[in-house]
Amino acid sequence: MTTTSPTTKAPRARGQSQLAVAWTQFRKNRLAQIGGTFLILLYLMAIFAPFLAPDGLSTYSTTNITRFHPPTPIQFRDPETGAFTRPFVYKYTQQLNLETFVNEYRPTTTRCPIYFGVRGDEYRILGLIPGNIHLYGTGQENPECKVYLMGGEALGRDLFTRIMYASQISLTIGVGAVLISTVIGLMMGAMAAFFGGVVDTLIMRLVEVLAAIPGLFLLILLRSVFPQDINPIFALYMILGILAFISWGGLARVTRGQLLSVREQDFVSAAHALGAGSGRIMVRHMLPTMTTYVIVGLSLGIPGAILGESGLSFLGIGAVEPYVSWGSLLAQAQEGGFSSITQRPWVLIPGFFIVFTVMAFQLLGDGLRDAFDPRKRS
Amino acid sequence: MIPFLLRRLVQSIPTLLIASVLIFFVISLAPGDFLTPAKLNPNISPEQIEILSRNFGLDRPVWEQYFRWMGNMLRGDFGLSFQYQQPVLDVIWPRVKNSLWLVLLSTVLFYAIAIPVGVYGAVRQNSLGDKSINVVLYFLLGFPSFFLALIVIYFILQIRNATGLDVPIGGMTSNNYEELSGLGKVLDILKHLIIPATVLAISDAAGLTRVIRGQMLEVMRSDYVRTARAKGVSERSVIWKHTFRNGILPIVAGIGGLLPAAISGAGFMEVVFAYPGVTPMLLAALNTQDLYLVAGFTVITTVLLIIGNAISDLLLAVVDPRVKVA
Amino acid sequence: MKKALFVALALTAGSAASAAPFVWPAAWTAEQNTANKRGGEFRTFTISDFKTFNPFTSAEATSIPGTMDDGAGLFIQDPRNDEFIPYMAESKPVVSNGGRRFVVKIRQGMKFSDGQPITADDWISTYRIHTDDKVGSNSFDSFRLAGKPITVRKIDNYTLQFDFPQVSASAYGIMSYAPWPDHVFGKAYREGGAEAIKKMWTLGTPASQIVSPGMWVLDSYRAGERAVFKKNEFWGEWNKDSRGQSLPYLNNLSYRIVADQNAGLAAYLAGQIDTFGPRNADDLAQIKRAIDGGSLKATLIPNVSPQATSQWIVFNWNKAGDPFKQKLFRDVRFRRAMSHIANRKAMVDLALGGLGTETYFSVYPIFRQQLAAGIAAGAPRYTYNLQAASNLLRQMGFTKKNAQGWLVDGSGKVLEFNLSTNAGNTVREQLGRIFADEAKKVGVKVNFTPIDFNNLVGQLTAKGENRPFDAILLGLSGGSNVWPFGTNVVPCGGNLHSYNNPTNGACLTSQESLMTKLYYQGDATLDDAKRRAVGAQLLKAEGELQPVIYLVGGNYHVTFNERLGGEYPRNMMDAYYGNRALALTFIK
Repeated sequence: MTTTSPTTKAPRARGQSQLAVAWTQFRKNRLAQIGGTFLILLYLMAIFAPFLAPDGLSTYSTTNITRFHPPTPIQFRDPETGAFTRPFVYKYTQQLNLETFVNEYRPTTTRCPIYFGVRGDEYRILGLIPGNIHLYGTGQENPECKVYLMGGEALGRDLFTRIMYASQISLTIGVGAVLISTVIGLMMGAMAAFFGGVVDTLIMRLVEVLAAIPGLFLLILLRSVFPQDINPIFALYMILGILAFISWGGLARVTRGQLLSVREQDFVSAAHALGAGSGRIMVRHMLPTMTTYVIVGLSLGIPGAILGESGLSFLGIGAVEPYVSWGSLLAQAQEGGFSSITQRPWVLIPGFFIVFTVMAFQLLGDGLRDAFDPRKRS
Repeated sequence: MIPFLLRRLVQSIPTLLIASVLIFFVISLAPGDFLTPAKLNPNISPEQIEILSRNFGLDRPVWEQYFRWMGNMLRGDFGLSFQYQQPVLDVIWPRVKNSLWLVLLSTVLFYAIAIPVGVYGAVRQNSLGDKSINVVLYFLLGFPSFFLALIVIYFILQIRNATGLDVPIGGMTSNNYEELSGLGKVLDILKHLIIPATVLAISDAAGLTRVIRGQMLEVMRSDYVRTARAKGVSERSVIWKHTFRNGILPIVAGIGGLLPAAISGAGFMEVVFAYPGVTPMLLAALNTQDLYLVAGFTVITTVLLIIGNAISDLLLAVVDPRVKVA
Repeated sequence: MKKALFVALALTAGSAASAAPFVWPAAWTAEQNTANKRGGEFRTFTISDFKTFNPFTSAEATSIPGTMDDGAGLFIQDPRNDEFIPYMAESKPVVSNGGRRFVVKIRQGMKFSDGQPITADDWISTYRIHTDDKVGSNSFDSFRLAGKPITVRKIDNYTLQFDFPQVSASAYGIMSYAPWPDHVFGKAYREGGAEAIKKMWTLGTPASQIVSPGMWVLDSYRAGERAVFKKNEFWGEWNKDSRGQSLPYLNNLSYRIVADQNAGLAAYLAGQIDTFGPRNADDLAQIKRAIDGGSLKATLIPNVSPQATSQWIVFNWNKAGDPFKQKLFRDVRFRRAMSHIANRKAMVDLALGGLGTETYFSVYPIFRQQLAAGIAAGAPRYTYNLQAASNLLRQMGFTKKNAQGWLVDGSGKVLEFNLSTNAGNTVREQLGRIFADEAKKVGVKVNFTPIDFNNLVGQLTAKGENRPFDAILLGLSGGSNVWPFGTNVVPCGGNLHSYNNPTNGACLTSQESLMTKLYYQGDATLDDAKRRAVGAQLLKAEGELQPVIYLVGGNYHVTFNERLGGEYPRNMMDAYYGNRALALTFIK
């Protein structure tokens, strides 16, 4: 606090770009870095999901029931000799206990070795690069015996595989829509504040009209406009994209309010006096004061979309069979009620993916905001 | 100020008209209607469905339904709910009253948690406390509310079993509510409110906490705060009087937005805790396409939103003298 | 117990003195309330809030008027043998006019909860209001037979005459509607017509104004929370147990309104409600755990009977716009192949958690006698057999597979169709997934997508030559055990005759015509055994035609808190009759 302003401003004026300053600041924030790294890893995971997952999107057997198969611990030592061997898992047997009504799984002595880089279901990474190599698996020799890193789900599909595939939807679902609505919201709010008068009135009344639209019905209506046989996920992205055009109202109002007060501040008057054009003033001087709101808004909006999607799958708009998202996986766990907590806690794992992703977004958002806003640097 | 309000009133007429058209048509044009599930009932014949459809006015063209609805609404009649066969306002009002208690309590808790935590985060920026609070809040933020509630109910059940305490699992009153004294009734409702209100307040606190923290940080670096410090004003006074009061200006200005929120209920939390508020009623209305109930409720929230926005704009001018009322 | 039963039968069947009470057979409970324990509250739950108190506008499954008409009706069905016995009727009706006219003597001395006597006028007014199309009562259709109205006339204060347009096995069921007070509804109807009726007894009406003919009368209602009923003292005057004690033993009945089944289970496990309907193995496991852990004292009887519901896949025969698919869906070999593909065991194991019943016919498996008759008559079941499915498809010309492994016909067209179900129903989504994955094994490409419920129903009930779906997976429930075939499902032209619903409603195949004929024949057959034989022929025709592929149904499980006594004997419990008569239920 005791440092005088010239010393901090001097090097910035010429020597360093805005970005470089922000980067230096950002590097000081350990939590934000953790968040950022975590997000990069998550997105990499989503891209390489088919490779990381041992199975295809929807692989299960109707003869060998693996409904809610427990996670299979990976063994590294031979139980008889105690020596290290190729990692393996035990095959399990399944039996519904008619006394307790619990589907009981017990390991047998059959061992299934785990191989790395096995061939299995075919896939395309990013829809382009074909492949059939999976990071790990038990190979084709023993199809009834698989590695369940995170257990199995209701149809007996490998939950880890489903989570991997789900990340592709969950991590991308909100990004586009939130970005679109943020840009529109900023622009509309700025226009309202800057031009005032009729423009302001029109935009603000439009915000009120849009807020009145019952979103749920609009979603259902939009879905019914799309032909039934198109990919439901494609339809979902389209619908959310369209919705973004009506969901910018809140941000527009906040932007307008903030800019109205900024408009009267000294540095804007100064810019005016220096002869800066209105476009330049708006973009260079006024909008940057919105960084806090925008970053908070984005880092809340994207997770909001991740969570919101889970509700949509109940309406047939979100990730419906065989597709899956973290939200819909968790909604299935919720539907199982207390059994999901007491009998098969592993079905809650998708929830942790959501929680940690949301956290990562927030931490990164915090760091970015502090880094970009000179007034918040410590 | 009076001309401002008058102008707003005039502007609200076309706004409401367009909004009502959008509300009505979006609901009506979505596939199916209130009678769709009846078509799957083996005991109801197509003739019967035709009769019902005629009784409900669903057999007429949408525009005609709209004009009837609009005409009735101008006379203060929001129509009959299909499900309840009761005027829409009569259905909504008791639910709104119930929701208000929950919303009020949770809003109070919400600010009681968010403000101190946000201020602490700004004052001790990047301290261990700040960071750990952030991490905890973000953790809660990421919990989908439907899921958080399942876990909460599970633990309530465990606590009940372990301690024998009569912790309510849901609802608003106990079975013996009618026999209680006046104070007993209040306490009984409070007992039912406290858990959902707390869960709601905590899981939402992250957003406001961050905004307050950000605003405080901004103001703390400003010249007048530095001047105040230089003058030797006590740290406490610097934080609460100079920084906090200016830092929350934008939040105060947004208070008008609480108006529609007040009648919209506490969202999914009400469903999970079987709380007789607006949300369960509204969800059922959405599911069954109870046209006039949904449309009527949406019109009311829109009116409140318009009023709330006008209040916000006024407040913005009041708290920040530089802004003129447009 | 034997003696008590004898007394009961003597009183009900004989022409006893005029104000004789109805005696509830001792055999209707496994546990006699010999100590005459009285009082207490039976606490149950419902998952959707009540919408009205009005019996004429109510359309809910669990409703307030529906609770109050428990213990009101001219006849009741004996759960031991499904026979209708006189209840509010004094004796069996006098039947004339070739089985179309029923003259019923009403039991004397019965009163509404406000003390007014129940007389013929109450039945007449109730009938008039239900059949006024401007009221929009859900019972409108139950006063019609094959589109023609049933008439009810008053002979004198205690005699009613019912005239049916044709002979019907459902006559007793139709006559057993609850009489609502003429001095309340009849009066309002005469003064203000249908509009007056619709405004009555809304949720805002004070409970003290509600009048009930049955065992319970509304005591209090808190929106979204609970409804409490108290016993109707006047009902006890004409309802006695086998030792002459007034019924019910209980003082109150209450519904707790909860968010969903999971919340209901939570309330049950916490001891806040007395009974719960476990849906699946998960629920059973939770309850069993609580019982074993000592936190819940309750009785648990799993797998009591199958549920009275069905899940099925229907193929659309009206696809003028796609002749390939229309020909495919109309081919009986294709539909039989689809039944062979349905791996019902896997569906039970995976989607129902191991507790369920495979189904092959429209008659719910709970109606065992009818099903057994059908199977004895040779109704075929096309069980899971992928080889048989492949053979049938090969006969139809799908001999080769393309590069992706899908079956193609001579012109290279892939054997492919869309299958939808309503999104959000996890069990149906899983059934569809399993069906599609099994189909893949024989090379049939099933594009399975869950969609919005309203959209789905709109498609299913569409009429015309080119209806907007390929195949739909859905379920039905409801129906009676007297003639367990749906009036708008089986006959051609019915709105749920969902496989073939052209504009003119005509049958396409000889089996459909036969089934339509048998449906009406069975409905007009009064003798139980003969009717069952007609039903058996209907099942045979249906099985051969395979118009709808039936899949699986869940099982009915019973559980109740140990403080309750007076449940049915184990062999009387099923999904149709439930697990107890509330009249004989008591708190231990």
